[in-house]
Amino acid sequence: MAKTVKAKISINGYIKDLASFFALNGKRKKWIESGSTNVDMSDPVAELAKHLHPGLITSKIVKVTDETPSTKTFTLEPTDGKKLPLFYAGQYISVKYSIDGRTTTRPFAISSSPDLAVKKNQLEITLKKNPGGYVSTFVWENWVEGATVLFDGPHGHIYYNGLRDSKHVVGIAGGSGVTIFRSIANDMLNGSGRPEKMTLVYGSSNASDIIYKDEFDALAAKSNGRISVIHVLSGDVPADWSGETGFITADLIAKLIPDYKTASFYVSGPAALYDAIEVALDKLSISHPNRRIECYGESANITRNKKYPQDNAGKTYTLTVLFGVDKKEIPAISTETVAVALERAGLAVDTQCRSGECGWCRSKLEAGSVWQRPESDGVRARDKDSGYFHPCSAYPTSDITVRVFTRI
Amino acid sequence: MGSGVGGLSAAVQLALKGTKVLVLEQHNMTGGYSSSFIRGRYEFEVSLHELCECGDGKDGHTYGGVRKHLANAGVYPDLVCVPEAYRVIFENHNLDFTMPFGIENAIKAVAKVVPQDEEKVRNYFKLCEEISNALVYIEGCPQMKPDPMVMMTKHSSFLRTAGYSLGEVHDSFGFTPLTEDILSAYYGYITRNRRDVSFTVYGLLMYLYVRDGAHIINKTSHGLAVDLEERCRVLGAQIETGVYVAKMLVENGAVVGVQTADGSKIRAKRVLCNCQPDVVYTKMMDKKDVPDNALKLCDKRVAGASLFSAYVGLDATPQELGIDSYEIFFNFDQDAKRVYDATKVWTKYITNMSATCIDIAIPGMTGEGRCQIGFTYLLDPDAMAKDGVDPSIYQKNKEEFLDHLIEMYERLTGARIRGHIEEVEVATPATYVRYTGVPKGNVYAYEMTVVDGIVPRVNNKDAEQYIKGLDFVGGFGRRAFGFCSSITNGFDTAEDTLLKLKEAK
Repeated sequence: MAKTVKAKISINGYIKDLASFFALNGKRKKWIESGSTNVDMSDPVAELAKHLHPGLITSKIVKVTDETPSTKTFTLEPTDGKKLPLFYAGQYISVKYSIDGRTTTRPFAISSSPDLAVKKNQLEITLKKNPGGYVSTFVWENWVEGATVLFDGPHGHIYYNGLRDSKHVVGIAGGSGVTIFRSIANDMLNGSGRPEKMTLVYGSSNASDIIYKDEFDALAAKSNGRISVIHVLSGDVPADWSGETGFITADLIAKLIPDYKTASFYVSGPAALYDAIEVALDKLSISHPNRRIECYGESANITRNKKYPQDNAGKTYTLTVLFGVDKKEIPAISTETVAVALERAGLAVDTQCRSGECGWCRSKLEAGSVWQRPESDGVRARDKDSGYFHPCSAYPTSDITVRVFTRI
Repeated sequence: MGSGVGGLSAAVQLALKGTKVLVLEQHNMTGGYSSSFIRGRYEFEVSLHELCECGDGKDGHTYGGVRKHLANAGVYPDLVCVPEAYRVIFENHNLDFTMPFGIENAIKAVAKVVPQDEEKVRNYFKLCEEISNALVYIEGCPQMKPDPMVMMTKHSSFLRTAGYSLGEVHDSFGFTPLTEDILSAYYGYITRNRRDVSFTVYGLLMYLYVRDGAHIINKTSHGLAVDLEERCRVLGAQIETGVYVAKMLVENGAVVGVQTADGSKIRAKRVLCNCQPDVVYTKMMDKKDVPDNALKLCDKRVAGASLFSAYVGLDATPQELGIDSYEIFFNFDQDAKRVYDATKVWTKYITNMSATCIDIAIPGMTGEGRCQIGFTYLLDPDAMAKDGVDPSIYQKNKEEFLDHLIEMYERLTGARIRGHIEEVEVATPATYVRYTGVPKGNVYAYEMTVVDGIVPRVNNKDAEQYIKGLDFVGGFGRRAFGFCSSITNGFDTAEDTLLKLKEAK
């Protein structure tokens, strides 16, 4: 058998090299003893992180502005001494409600520009009344000047990035989805200065539903051609109407936006708009990097989603909730999300996007089945293998057992 | 307390042996840095997560210790071997070098570039092998306490290098500068300071990766966190997220449990912390309960590195974009001191970076017709604290910095990614603080200098058990940081804990 050849190694000579090993413990001991017992724990990075993501903010409504007969803008200002976090125009906050002892959350795009937050420590959200809606009814009854609003944020990923987006952004808005473009337009003129150019194609049902009409006109007028707004009416058209009519289609986009092939599209509105615009953008061969869709949010009526298993409607299942060592059985309606079932039972999990994308409510399906809304499905690949899902956008399709992790 | 892979590995091993385990995690999910996140159509690996010691025992490969530890506990992550050790581009050497797996292949590859150094490189890998053999012996000894005579007779090269830094050992080989640079290229995995890092740590890492290959986890490192967490639950461990530990419960100088932020007191025989020790000492304990030397050790230790990481989702395949390597190290400067000093400044002078395209190792992982690149740049956790915390320039800084990295990436590889960027996200030290609570966004725990490498830490583990009932796992543990170190550390510390629980009985 061949003799093993040893590595030839000499740093300061065999003896000194060996000695340096045996000296190591003593060296370490001395090294430790030369330290100070006053460990500096100051941490500016943690302070920055806390500024960027301050957690729950308690604010009050300092102003309520009627935008249209069915739309109001609420101006919020922190009352807990917190400074509003830096955000990107286009991001949203998650408002936390406690309604008759039931906790829930809703995402709302910030409609004011980052500049307002920096200068006045205020931000605005613009809400459209949803007659009969659980949260909307509460807001219309209770949100008056001086009322308290709890929220956290910023969240969301529809905002300008110079490495990804074109210099020309085309905003496609439907109804109150237009709020993000008010923030972006103001930020273009009084903030980041980006994007270089924005064309907003804004669809409304009727002329009286158009939000921020005058404000957009004023912004466009002083933008040196950087901002233009094209209104599209799908309902009754007034006699003196000079804008577009009908729905926003591929043909209309191609007609209005000569450079549509290279522009970046941001789409914000109701689910029906997303479905239509996806088809239009496909038809126009707009690449994925050039399209950004705002999150879907709470669905008013999930049976309208063609992919929802229609024969599942109208049922009530049993939801067994596991939390720590606790176990509880509650009812779950087949056309409401698992998150809503938990909220109804006073077992709310923390949610932000209400769309399935952010993953904040990640829970585990231990038994049974759910239908996870496929649009903006943000469940991780490995999570899918083990039954993890996002309750804010998942509907029960059988009796289910769910392990929840972080309750609020 | 804390559910990074260190905490979870310890938990799974303790639960396996029938110990009652409670894991408390302040974030809303487990895994720590072993995680992923989703943007649009993309699931991004949060960081470069390569494991060594994960050989599968087939085709002449060693059955790796990390894989063995996990398998013994019933944890079977989906491990995939990456194609090569590394590709390194030295702009000023005008050299684009790929280090293959397999010791003989590696020696040949270096010899091809620097023929006159072949025997030196062979001798170097021989030394690294001897370091590894010594470690295998030490790990086989009860409580990792080896017989000094065996060490002297059989493993003297381990002893003779343990007191030296990487720079000192490399100098003794008399390599040409190019060889030295090639063989040092892995340094970014463990240190910002390639001269002063402990040779033992580097030599071992180099040897194990090159011999057995480097493994990553299919469906991102989040997969390992899920594997560990699931197994913990099956074994009866209780895991609670969204629970913040506010205080240690101390009686007669010993930790006897924790108090959570909501005031609940939980008693435990032992507490294992997967976090930075000074946080526990200064924020969760009274100063009178913390021995001076525990604090002094924290004061003396050098913070490892935080990261500037960027995640880019691309709407084309790597082939379409001209990306042909899994991971590339870009070394713009080989002056170790200049490189180290540059890491102390926030976004000023880039001396090196790494870019990883996971889809080269796992084709199609990102999705059909897509791929992702992760950019990583190491920096001193204090760099941002000093220069980068002004929120008004934070957003701009992030974008400009990534713009710069992409510019260099395209220039040196010829790949074209601009125009295909569908999703982009940047993590800074502030991001790491946000998700883990670690001071200053530290990712690399403590620098493994000669006095604070793995050897002195393990040798002194009993002397440095400053507080009864309290241990540290994960990157701040005795095996130091690193994806596989954290796992091994968790298992080791669990074994120690079992022993101490038995003694207490």
